[in-house]
Amino acid sequence: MKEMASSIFDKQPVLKPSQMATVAERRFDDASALADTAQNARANGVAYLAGFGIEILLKARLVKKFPLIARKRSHEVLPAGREIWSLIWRRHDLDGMLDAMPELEAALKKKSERSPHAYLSDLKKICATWTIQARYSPMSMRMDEANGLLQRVRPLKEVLK
Amino acid sequence: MTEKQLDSLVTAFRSQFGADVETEAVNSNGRYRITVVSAQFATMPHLQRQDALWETADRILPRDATIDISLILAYAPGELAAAE
Repeated sequence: MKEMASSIFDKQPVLKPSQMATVAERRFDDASALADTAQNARANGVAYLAGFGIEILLKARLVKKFPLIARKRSHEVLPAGREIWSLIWRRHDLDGMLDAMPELEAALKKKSERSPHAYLSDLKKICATWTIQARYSPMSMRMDEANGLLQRVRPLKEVLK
Repeated sequence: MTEKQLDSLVTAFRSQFGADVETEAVNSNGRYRITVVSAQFATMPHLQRQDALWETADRILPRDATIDISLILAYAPGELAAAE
């Protein structure tokens, strides 16, 4: 039986998509809590965490779509699965993830047609804008811009879960 | 999307944003990643740039063709140098 991690700093076992969705929800909650402060100094945190939640949900989708590849350890992955494995466990390439899931795009496009939310174009806008490098950025975002991102992420995360 | 549709979109981006536009095929099925570099973006927040670009894409392309846009990357001239 695998031992459970006892600290957030322990190496995590391979998470199930449902567990990843829970983690994503917690990061959205973190982003919302920072947004509630209304302090510009917290805006970078809002934007980073909101986008990070989307990244986790896209990775959860990949794990669900490619369970056999996702469960493998690095040295066990065959060349054909390496790109997907890397998208899940190594890279932070949101557009690469999206390119690997045309069925998700088609579903979001269909959903967008029946909804006031432009799910697909909002996801593509976020994929083009957000980068994990934001966590190192010395620049400061304004809270209204970060809130704009968070407002788009909110409905999107519900359909990505 | 077809090459003709892509050309129309590139022309619209150049005309509307005074932009340098580069396209890259993501696969062989007409899916493209587009990079738009415009001085107009220098004072525009990133999501606002995206809104402006996608508004143009939605106007120029038939609905079924917009799904073939993988991403539209938007930079002000100085930012592109920093990103590379």
